[in-house]
Amino acid sequence: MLDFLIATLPQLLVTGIMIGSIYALVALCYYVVHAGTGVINFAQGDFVVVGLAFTWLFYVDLGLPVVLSIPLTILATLACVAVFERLAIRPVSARDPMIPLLVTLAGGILIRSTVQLIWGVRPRLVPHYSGDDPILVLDAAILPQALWIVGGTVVILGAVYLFFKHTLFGLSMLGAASDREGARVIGVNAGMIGLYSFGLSAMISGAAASVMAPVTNADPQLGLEFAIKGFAGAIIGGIEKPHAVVVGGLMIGLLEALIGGLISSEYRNLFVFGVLMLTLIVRPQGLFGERT
Amino acid sequence: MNSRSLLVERGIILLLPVVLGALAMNSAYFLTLLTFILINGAIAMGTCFCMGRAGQITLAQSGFVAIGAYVAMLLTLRLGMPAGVGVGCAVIVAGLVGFALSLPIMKLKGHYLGLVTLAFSLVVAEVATHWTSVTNGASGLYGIKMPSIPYIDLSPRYEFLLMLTVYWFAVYIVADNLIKSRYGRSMQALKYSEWGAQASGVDITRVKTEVFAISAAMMGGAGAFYAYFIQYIGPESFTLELSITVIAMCILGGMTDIRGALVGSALISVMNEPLRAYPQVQPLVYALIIIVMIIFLPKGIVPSMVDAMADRRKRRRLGVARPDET
Repeated sequence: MLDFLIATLPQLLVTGIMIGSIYALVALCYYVVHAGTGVINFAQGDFVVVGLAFTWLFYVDLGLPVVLSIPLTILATLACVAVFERLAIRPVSARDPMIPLLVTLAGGILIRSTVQLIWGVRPRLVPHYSGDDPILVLDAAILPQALWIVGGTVVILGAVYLFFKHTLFGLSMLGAASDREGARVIGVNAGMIGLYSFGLSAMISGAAASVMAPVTNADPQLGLEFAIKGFAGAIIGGIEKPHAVVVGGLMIGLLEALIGGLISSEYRNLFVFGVLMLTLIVRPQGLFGERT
Repeated sequence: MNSRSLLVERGIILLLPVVLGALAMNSAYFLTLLTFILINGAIAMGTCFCMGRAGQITLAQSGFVAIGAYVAMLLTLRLGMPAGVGVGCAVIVAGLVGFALSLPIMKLKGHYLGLVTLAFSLVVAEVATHWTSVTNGASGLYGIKMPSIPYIDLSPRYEFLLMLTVYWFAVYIVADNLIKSRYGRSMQALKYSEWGAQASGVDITRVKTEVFAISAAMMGGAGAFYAYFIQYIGPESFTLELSITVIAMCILGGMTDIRGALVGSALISVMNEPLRAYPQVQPLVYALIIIVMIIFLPKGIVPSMVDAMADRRKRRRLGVARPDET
């Protein structure tokens, strides 16, 4: 058993960090939208699906190089989400919080079904960006794409950090997050904050989708999976803080890989759900959240 | 509303499926459609009760319906229990699971509830897929007969419809009576302000857990009837699409009125008929209905009609009392 553990653990950790990076980015998207608008965005997983579909379109179908396909994916995802926000979220944002939530839920279904109608239900293959010869480190085989994912995550996190600390948009969003009414009083445009929050989460989703597409392939069915895992990460870390949700997302990825490798790959969702429920019972504010 | 018109209204609601079913006794197609309207109606009433009246967002419909369906199916298939026992146990088990699920999530604000209940539905589907020794995995369970009423010899689908009508009407009466009682006013208070409700002496944790458990039980019973009617259940019978469809029904009919669930389930079940040939388009249509209704007719059909009628009555009364002012 111990030999088995030593032999498989590095590989599982590598996989866990790779998957966890994706969940961390999705969790960060939940944070951004929740901070700016107070809404839990049910369409979050489907923003990623839009990104995956555009990655396939630009990189595979049109055959553009990676340096072009990634920014184009980010912009295209941003454009789709901005239209969605203006048409569907904005008209209802002033109402009872259940209403925008239901709109994001329906919007997510709308996005997913549209993608399925255009590109079909079957996942589309996306080739790896730098070949698929694994790099051996210790006993773990690391796919070059995993480095793209982890590296991409670090770059995205850095960019989001700079955005929050050094731009007026970012600062006003943080302000709106800590006190929505107060931010409005000192002149933060509440209507635009909604657009910025959804826009930022769309850009993060697009970027995340474009680095992970070769591993997951462009599969419209994945949206729900990402939505749930990212949400679990956000709740387990504590949704009030950006670094907490990122760590939470990473933990979900590691947990999933370890359970999948050591206990049972069939009941991964059940275990993640169990941990989510346990967190809610023992520490509802999240591992790194402060008691309110 | 005085007690006599309430009685008339309930009588009409009870007689509608019975009479419509009797008129279409020989049309298997029409009876099947009616059966689905009632099954969806019971799920929609559970949703409306929990979401519309108490403000607790739930996406666990497919999970609870699946639990009810599996419980009933297993009891009849493995232990040879009659359908009545199956439905009863489905209601109880789904209610208990709903109660257990509600305990940890009641600490959550409304927003998080939705995603946790969504995750719950996924987990139920996962267990149904992988716990093969009990659920037979992805191949599903089959091999029961449609239950019938003893000593009566009508068309089997009509007999089933009558039994379903009893359940459906019972759900309606329970929901409607609870909503119109003191308990319903606590639910209402909870919906508008948790603090306000607490300040006026409502035990909000208790009301939340009970509402959640009752709505889960309603959905579980509907699941049992689904299993007995289709005589086949598998994990793919209970996907997120089910929850979305039911929510679309509630929003179309009107989330705040239990009759809205009945109207919405009838409209969408009928509308679903031409769509059945295009399963890819179904979720798209329901999502559009939800968004368009929320933006243009947020209250839904039934509450909007009730409001319009009350408005007209008021205007007429004022007009009669003081004709010089109109």
